[in-house]
Order: sequence, then structure tokens, then C-alpha cells
Amino acid sequence: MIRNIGSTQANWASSSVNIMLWVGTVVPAFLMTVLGYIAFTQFVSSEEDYQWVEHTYEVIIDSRKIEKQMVDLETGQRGFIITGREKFLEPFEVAKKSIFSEIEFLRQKTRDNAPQTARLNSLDLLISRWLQKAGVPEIEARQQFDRGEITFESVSDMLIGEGGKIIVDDARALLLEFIAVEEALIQKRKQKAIDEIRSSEYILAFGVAFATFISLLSGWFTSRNILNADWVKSKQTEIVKKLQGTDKIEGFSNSLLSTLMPVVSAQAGSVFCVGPRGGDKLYRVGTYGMSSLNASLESVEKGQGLVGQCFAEGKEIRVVDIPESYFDIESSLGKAKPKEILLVPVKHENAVVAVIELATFSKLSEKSHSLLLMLSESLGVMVSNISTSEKTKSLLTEVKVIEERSSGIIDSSIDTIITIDHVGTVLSFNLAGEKLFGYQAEEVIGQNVKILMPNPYQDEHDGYLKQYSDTGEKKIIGIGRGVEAKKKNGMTFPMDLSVSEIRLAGKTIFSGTIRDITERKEAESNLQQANAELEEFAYRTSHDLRSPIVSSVRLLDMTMNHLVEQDQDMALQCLSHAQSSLTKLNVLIGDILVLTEAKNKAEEDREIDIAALISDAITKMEHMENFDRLDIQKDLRFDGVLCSKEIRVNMVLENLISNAIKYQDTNRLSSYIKISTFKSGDEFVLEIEDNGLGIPEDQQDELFTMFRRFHPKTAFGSGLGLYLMKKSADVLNGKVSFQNLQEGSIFRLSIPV
Amino acid sequence: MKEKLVSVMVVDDSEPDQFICKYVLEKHNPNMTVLQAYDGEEALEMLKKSAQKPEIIFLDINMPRLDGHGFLAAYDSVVDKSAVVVMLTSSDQSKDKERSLSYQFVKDYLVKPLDEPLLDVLSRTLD
Repeated sequence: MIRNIGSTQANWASSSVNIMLWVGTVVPAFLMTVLGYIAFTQFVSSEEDYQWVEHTYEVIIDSRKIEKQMVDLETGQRGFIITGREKFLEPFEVAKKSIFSEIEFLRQKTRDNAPQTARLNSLDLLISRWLQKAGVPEIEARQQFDRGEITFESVSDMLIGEGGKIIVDDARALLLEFIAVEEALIQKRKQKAIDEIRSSEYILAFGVAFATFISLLSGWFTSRNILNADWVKSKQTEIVKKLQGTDKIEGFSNSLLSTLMPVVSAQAGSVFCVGPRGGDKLYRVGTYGMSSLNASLESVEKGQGLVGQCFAEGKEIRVVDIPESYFDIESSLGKAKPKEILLVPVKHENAVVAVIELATFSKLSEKSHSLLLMLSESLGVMVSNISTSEKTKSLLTEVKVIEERSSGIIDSSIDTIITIDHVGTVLSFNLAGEKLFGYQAEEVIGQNVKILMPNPYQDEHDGYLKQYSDTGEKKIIGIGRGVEAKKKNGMTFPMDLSVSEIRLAGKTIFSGTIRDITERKEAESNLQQANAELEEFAYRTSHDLRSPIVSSVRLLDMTMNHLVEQDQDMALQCLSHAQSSLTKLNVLIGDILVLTEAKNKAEEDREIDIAALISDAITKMEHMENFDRLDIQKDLRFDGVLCSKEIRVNMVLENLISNAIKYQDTNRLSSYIKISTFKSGDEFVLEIEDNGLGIPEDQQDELFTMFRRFHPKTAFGSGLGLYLMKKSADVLNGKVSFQNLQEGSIFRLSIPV
Repeated sequence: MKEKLVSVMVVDDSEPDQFICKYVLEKHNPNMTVLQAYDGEEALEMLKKSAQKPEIIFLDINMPRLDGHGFLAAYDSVVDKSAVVVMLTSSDQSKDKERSLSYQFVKDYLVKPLDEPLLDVLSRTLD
């Protein structure tokens, strides 16, 4: 037989105590009230009875008075008749006067009693008749006799007639009957009053006894319940205390069972608990006194079996009359069916978190039952706490794994990754950061991230953080910016910084990813320069190429006009200018071609005979104007092996020599060029010194830029020569430089050997 | 203008252009004095030293030492700006044009070569 007990009540025991206390107080109080009322009404009723008795006594006394008056009537009359003395007539007359009013008085008193009233009526009639027939006529006859009006015989006949005597006797008998009735009534009323008093005594005695019994019963029950509740409380406290500090559900369950089972005299039990992630499944987490076979059930679904049912309904299930097929409780001595099985749900915040199942050989006592119900309440919190703590632990483990994994990722990152808190304190600093900044992580962690910044960022960073936390205004977060960073050695470098905000458990941290973009910046600036050069080049060529053509066309037009006008001299002048324009164009185009080639040509390094190269170059220049004026000196001290790109070295060399020839100062008496080679450190150096026109000081900055000419009216350079030289030197990983002399200048090419 | 214009200066580093310019101007007014400077620097020096002040300066842009823009900047700070400047250059880049015309004393921007119809237009502009 399976019986559902309904929902468990924590105050089950105390509520039953309350009921018993209530019964013990209210029932006796009610009884006393009822009894008091009954006794009171009984007393009232018996007092009424006594009044009636008194009344009856009065009636009897009045009856006796009437009886005496009747005697007075009769004896007075007889005395007068016999003696003839008037004195005897006095009582007669008195009685005759009052007897009827007495009877009337009595009749009034007994008017509730019809038979008695009737008797009094008859009495009244009889006395009247006696007075009329015997009493008064006989007295008159005696008086007539005394006066001698009648004879003695006639009087005596009258008396012998005896009519009067019968009437008196009847009346007396009637009155006696009346009195007898009243006396019987007294007896009856007295008896009734006594009976009532006695019965109320009985009721009181019984009632008091009953109330006392109820009180005692309630007291006994209450004290028993209080004792039971105390037991339940103390056992509950004991068990809960024992379970405190357990942080694993299995340990908790086994500890619970081993403590609880002996206390409630159960022989076997299990604890089922929901999994750490909740759900509709219960797992067996503890057993007590069960063979491994019975304990093989590992988990149950909601609604499956009694455990699942208890889980689903959240109500306790009590089973008595265990079916034959049910499991046995085993010991080494044998096995037996349990007598009773109880399943108690353990709830937390109205959700079932565990089910305790136990089996007993004997009937489970009420106090054990109530202990189980009480326990299930406090266990709910504990189970839920353990489950929460297990969940937290498993999450912590997960977090740790993730943390290790992510710190691995962070450390293997090429980019520097730094995390800071909301005020800028460094929380983490990865390996790439150590390499880039030259700090060890320990030196940076705990410090303010400002130490990694140059000014103005260093001074302003606190402000950025504060502004962000106050207003949400972002400087860098999510935007990514090119800013500068500072290494441990004080060097600054351009970096690409992207900051993201991470909110963890209500705290804000910032993660910054930093990449050194020095190289990129350089490449960018190179590219920018190349672009600027290209633009300049396009602008200049378009102008410088167009200009001589425009002029030549105009000049040829003028030539034609002059020829028509037959002004041969002017025509020749125009032609000469046109020729010089076109020559200039030709030179320019040649230079542009060389420049383009120089920029694009790939050339292998090879050993260069620099002396031979210089000789060839000089030979090439021999046809140039004013070449013969020059004293060309050579000081070739370089004795190492120069391995470089010959064509480019030659280009620089030829340019330098031809410049020296072109821009010689023809106003001097003697002009010279001195060509020297030597080794300086790891570099091969070629120097060309002259005492020529030199470069105006304020224009030396623009020396190696495109289309720069410094000497108007002197020679027709394209302005590309020095630029071309610089580009070539760049390709050679070398440098061209210029030094101003008192008279003239020195141009120098240095190439690493 | 024909009568009034007696002295002009041509600032250009190109010999052929100087020749063309001088020819056209003298053809326009045979009495005209044409001062020739081969770069900005020379032009400034000539303005300082020469007794005869030009009424118009024809100015090229691409020149060695001090180019046209450099000359304009320098001329801007000169107190005596009796001569107006007319650009005469082979560059028709709007960048150059805007930059030159931003000076109050630069009256026109001509693209080479200078010829008589162009000079007539200029005369009307200056009148």
C-alpha cells in the first residue's frame, strides 16, 4: 500500500502540540462553563420547588384555620343549643363571618390546581348548606324554645334528625382530603427539589472529573510532543553540525546516511542528488546498508520509479506492505524485506535538489518521521551550497585551463600584450613585451603603465583613464592609434596601439596590443618621399620638356618671318636660339633616360678597378669646353678590393668630374681638380676637390634634390645630375656628401667595402 | 600703354625665351628699354641698383638660385613696389597660378611664348 502524506510541514510537530494545548485549555473551560450553567439552573429550579413547598405549607395552615372555624361553627352551635347560653354563640358567629373569606383566600392560592379548587368550591357549598339547613335553624329553634314558643320535643326532633351532622362530616372529610392532597404535594415537591440538587451534584462531579481528565490528557500529550520536538531539534542540530564543512556531495551524502540511519532506526538508505548542472536526472551519491546489487542503480530520470516520482512531485512517499519482489536488506546473518520505505524530497527554494530514500524493519516512529521532514528543509540549503561550490570549483578549473591556454597564446604572441586595471596599474606583460621594451615582466607588473610612455602621453594618460570612466569618451579604445612608446633605455618608437575594454565580474580592465611600427613608418616615409619625388619629377619634366619646344616653335616662326623680310642676320640668331633650346631638350631627355635606367637596372656586384675607371672617365671628358685649362691631379691611395656595381660607381664618378669641369671658375688664373681614393674605416672613399664656383651657402640644403641648378647662364645642366648621383649612392648603400671650401668644394662618395 | 610703357624687366633663365621676349616687346614699342635678369636674385639686385625702374616685370617660375615664387616673396617685402608683375612661364599648373596671383601686385598670368596678340590683351588689362 502506497500512501501519499501530502506536503511536508516544517512545524508539523509543533502544530500538533499547539492543537493539544488548545484542546487541553479550551475543552475543560467549555465544560466548566456548561456545568456551571447546568448547576445554576438546577439550583434555581430547586429553589422554585422550595417556594412551592412553602406555598403548600401556607395552604395547609390556611386549611387548618378553616378546619378550626368549622369546629368553632359546630361546637358553638351545639353548645348554645345544649346550654342555651349566648356565650357559646360568639365563636360561631365569628367563624360564620370569616369562614367564607378564608375559603375564598385559599381558593385564590390554589387556583392553579383545578381539583383542589373544585374541592374548595364543594366545601363552600357544604358549609353554606349546613348553615342554611342545620346551623341557623337549630339556633332559632332553641331561642324559640327558650322563649317558650316551641316545645322541647320539637327541638329535640329537630336535633335527632341528624341532617346537620352528615353535612358537617362531609365537609370535614372534604377538607381533610384537601389537606391530604396538599401534604402529598409537599412530599412530591420536596422530593423533586432533592432530586434536582442531587443530579446537579452528580453532573458537577462528573464534569469536573472529565475536565480534569481532558486537561491531564492534553498536558501529557503536549509534554510528550515537546519532548519529541526537543529530540527532533537536537538530532537535527547534531546531524547538521556533523555535515557542516563537507564540500563534496558524495562525502556529504554518506556522512548524512551514516549519522541519520541509526537515529531513525532505519536499516538501509540512499541519497540521490541532481547533477551539478541541474536537469531532470538524479544521481545516486550515497548509500547505506545496501548490497552492491541494490546500489547498482546509478541515476534515475524524473518520474522514473519511486525516487523519480518523489523528485517529480516534490512530496514524500511512504510505502508500507512491501511487495514480495522488493529488495531485501542484507547482513551476513541473512536478509529480510523492509517493513516500510520512506522517500523524502530535499528542497531548496521550492526545487527538489535531492531525494533521501530509506527502508526500515519496524514501523518508522512519528518523531523519526518528523526529524526526516525537518532535516529535509535544512539539508536543501546545504545540498545547494555544496552543489554551488562544486560548480564554482569546476568553473575555476575551467577558468584556470582557459587562463593557462590564453596566457600561452599571449606569451607566444608576436605582439606585445599588456593588461591594465582602471587606474592604469599593469596586470600582465607578455614575452613579446619584455623583448620590445627591455623590461622584465616583474619590473612592469604592479607599476603604472605610464612608465612605458614618453610625454605627452605619460602626463596625460591618467586623464584619459579618468575621462573614460567619467564620460565614456574614448581616446584609443577600439580605435587603434599610432602613438609613441618608450623603452627601458629611454628610446621611443612609433607603435600601433589597439586597446580593448574587458569587463570581468564588474571590474573593467583594458588590454592593449602593441606593435612596433618603426620599419613600417620608415617604409611609409620612403614611399611618401618617392611619391613626392615622382610628383616633382612629373611636374618638372612636363615643364622642362615643353618649354624648349614651345620656344623653338616660336623661334622657327620668327626665323620664317625674318627670311621673308630678308633679314638674314636676325633669322640666323633665331635659328641659333632654337638650336640651343633643342640641345638643352636633348640633354634633358638623355638625363631622364639615364635616371630611369639607373632606377630600374639591377646590377651584380663585381670587382672594380677604380684607377682604370677614373682614367677612362677623364678621357671621355677631354672634348668638354675649358677642359684644357684644368690641372687634373690624382691621389689614389686605395689599395683594397672594391666590390660594387661598376656602372653606378662610374655614373657618380663621371658626373662629379664633368660637374667639376663645367662649373670651374674661369675667372681664376688656374683651375684644378684633385681626384683621391682612400680607405676610411670600413669604407671606400672617392673625393673630387676643385677650386670652382662652389655652391651658394643658402642653397646647399637642396643640393641633391631634382632639377636644381645653381649657376645661371653657366652651362646648360638639366638639374638632375646630383639627384642622380644620390640615387646611385643609395643603390650602392653608400653616401654622397659635399663640403664647402674657401675656394671651391669637395664632393665625396663613400661606399662600404 | 604704347607711349607710357618705356621700361620693362624680363626675368628668365632661358636665353631663347629672353630673346623672343625682347624681340616681341621691342617690336611693340621700339623705344622700350628691356632689362634682362637670368634669375630672381639677379632681378632683385637689378631693381635695387638700376636707375631706370621698370613698369612691368615679366617673371618666369623655374629658375636657378631664386625661382619665381622666391622672387615674389622677396619682392613682397620691398617697400617700393612701383612695378607690377606679370607671370610669363611655360607652367600652366593651377597650383603655380593660384600661388602667384595671390599677390596683389601680380596682375596677370601668361603662358609662353609671348606674342603680340597676347601683349595687346595685356595692355587692355593694365589700362
